[in-house]
Amino acid sequence: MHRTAYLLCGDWYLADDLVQEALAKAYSHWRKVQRADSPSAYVRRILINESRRSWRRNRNLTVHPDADVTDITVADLSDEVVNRAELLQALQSLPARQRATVVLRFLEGLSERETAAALGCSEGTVKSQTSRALIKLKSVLNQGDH
Amino acid sequence: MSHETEERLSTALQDIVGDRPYAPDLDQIETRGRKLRNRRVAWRATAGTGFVAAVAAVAVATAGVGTQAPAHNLAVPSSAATGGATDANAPLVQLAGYLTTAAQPQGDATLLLRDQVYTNGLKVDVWDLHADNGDYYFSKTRGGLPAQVKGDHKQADEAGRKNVVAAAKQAADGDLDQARKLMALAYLPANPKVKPTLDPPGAKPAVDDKVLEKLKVLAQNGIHEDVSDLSNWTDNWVWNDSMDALTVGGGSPTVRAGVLRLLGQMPEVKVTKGTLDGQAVLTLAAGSLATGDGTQSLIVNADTGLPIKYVANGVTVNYTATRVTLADVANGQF
Repeated sequence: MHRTAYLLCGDWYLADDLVQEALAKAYSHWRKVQRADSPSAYVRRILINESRRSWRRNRNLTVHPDADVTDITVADLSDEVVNRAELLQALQSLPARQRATVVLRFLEGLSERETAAALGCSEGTVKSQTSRALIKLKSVLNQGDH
Repeated sequence: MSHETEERLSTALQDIVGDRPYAPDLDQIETRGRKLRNRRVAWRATAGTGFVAAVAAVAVATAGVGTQAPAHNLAVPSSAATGGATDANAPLVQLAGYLTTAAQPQGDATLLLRDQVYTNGLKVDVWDLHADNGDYYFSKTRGGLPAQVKGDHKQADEAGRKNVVAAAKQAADGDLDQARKLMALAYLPANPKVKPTLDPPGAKPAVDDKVLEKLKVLAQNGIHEDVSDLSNWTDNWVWNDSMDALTVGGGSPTVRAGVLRLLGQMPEVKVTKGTLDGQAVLTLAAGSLATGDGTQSLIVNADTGLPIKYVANGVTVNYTATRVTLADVANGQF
């Protein structure tokens, strides 16, 4: 949850707060959480909603997503170069739903169906949002190829 | 989009987040969760009573008879309330009066140790650093605070935190009626979907039988705790928010004076003099009309109004407040 929160907001300290608040809300709605088909999906949805609220509250603040990303450029497992800071910045520039889709699909490894359930949308929407997001992120991802 | 790109993205995201350790603060989650739940229940009851009041108002208007009820003066205790706030709370009034003239303390922040002891024996100490400008730093250890200040790791800006301090300051020497309103609504959104109904201090809310029936159902489902002893939600908000004001802005005598004035006007808050560990104290005990759930008590120093102990819902919180400067804390000299 904490890692997901970080990629949703781009700041570790905001991520701390997001997770705390999401868990507090889950606590306050514990009966609903227990009754949910998938309690973890329910809590994940609270976290995503909370990150949107946080973004709306803090939209005038400048977040520096690279503040904690110390190794700017590193080799990944496939020995190709991805610039972390740029990727994080590109991720933050995505619309909220696209960002959430990318994080759930590629960080948490959820299927399209699970992502759709977590975001409260159709699988088709997940596909289209993923596709649009990847087009925007592709230039950052593939810069080491050139 | 190629599978390779997706794999590369997945690897890069895993790489970015790394293995940063994180441990949620379970005590804060529980406290905040309880608060959210209580607030939600309060909203339901308020919405219900508000709806009934609106229906009644429409009924009177359409019938064209009856006299208009005078507007509630929030600062005046209900005449129906038993036990006046005046005589019994005289020490509180006296202390509040003294604090309004007291000099502002040195330093630019208040360091607060919250020593929390739960009925199950669990003991949790946490450190709050509330700057006079509204910034808030938190650490589980005293030694952890310098890094928080140096790194400018402020806790999230919660509008309600500043609102409770502003309300207390207004109560100290301004319009108590308006201050009570500000304190009660400190944590509510600026434009709520349901406009809250505000009651005078100590007034038992008039609730329609149908609403009472709904509340009984909530109680049967374990959502509401005690139907027979329905709370005055305005008093409940003022009591809870005042506790926040004392921790957030308690370093200021003006804030303490305002909180004491607000609490002193609630007939269900009983004040007794006493001593604790050799110091003169005042104990403010609030009944369930204000707490919504049994008796809670706040003990303050009888000379300074500084909070010493708060007892509620299975937890006792002992406070130790000192004045510091942010610069000294950042340098570890405090």
